[in-house]
Amino acid sequence: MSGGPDGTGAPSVDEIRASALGRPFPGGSFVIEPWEAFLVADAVAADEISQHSVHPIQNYFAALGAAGVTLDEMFGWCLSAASEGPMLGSTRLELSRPLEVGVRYVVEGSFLSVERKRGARAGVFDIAIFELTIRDLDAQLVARTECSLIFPRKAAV
Amino acid sequence: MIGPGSQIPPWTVPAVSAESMKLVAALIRDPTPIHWDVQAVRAAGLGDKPVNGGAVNLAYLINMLARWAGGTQNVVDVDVRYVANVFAGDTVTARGSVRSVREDGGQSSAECDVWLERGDGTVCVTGTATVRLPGVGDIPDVG
Repeated sequence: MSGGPDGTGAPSVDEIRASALGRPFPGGSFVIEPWEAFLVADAVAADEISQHSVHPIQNYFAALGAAGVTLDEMFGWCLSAASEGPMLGSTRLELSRPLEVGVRYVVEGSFLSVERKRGARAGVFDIAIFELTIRDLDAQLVARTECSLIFPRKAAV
Repeated sequence: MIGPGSQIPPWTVPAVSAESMKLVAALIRDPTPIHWDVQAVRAAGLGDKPVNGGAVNLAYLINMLARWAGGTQNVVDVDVRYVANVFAGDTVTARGSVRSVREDGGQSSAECDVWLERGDGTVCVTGTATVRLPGVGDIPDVG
C-alpha cells in the first residue's frame, strides 16, 4: 500500500479515489442454483427455506459474487485489506422483482464515492460507496444495491 | 387498519448461529476474519464471539417485513445503517413501525421504520423500508 503525502503510512483520500473511482467492476453473470437458495435461506433463518424460492438478500450476495471483483479485491481498490478491519456501514436494497432459481442475471457495478471522515472515538476513517445492479438478459432491472464500506485509517492523522 | 404508528409484529432469532456466519462467509467469499475466526475477534478487541455479517442482520429485518406483508415479493426497498455488532449466541429481534401509507394506482404501500436490537436492548441496525400491502385486513397489526 502506498503511503500518504504526510508520511503517516495511510493513503491519502486522493490516492484512494484514483484507485477506486472511474473504473467499473468487471461485472459478470450468475444463476442461483437450488442448493444456494436453500442454504442462504437457512443461514439467514428465513421463514421459507426451500430450493425453489430466493431470499431477497441474495440480491446482494449473488451480485457480489458476480461483480468480477471479490470483497478482498474491493478492499484493495480502496487501498486497504481485510486485516485492517473494514466494515459494512450501510446497505440499500431496491427490489424491482424477485430473483428466480435457475435464471441467468447480469451484474454491473462500481464505486461511486470515497470520503474521509474523522470521529471523536473512531479516529480517521474512509467511507467508500459502491453500487451493484442486477438485470435480466433482456436488460430489465431486477435489483439495485448500494453499500458503504468503512475503512479505519489508524495511521492517518 | 394499518396506518402511521402501527407496529409490525416482531421477529426473533433466539441465538445467532456461528456456523451460519461461516457458511455465509464461504458463500460470498468474505475474507473478513471477525466473522469466522475467534482469534481475530479477540485481536480486534471485540470480545470472544464471532461477529455476524451486516447483510445477515439486514436479512433478519427482511424476514420480519416479509412475514408481515405476506411474502418476500412484497418487500420493495430497505435502507439501513449498521450501528452495533451482533455476536454469535445473541438473541436479536427485528422490529418496525409504520411511518406512512401511500396509495398508488390501487396498490397500497407502507413506509416503515425498522430496527434490529440485541437482547440487552442495544440497537444494531436502523433504517427504513417500503413494503407493498397485499390488502386491507390481510396483514396483522399488533398495535
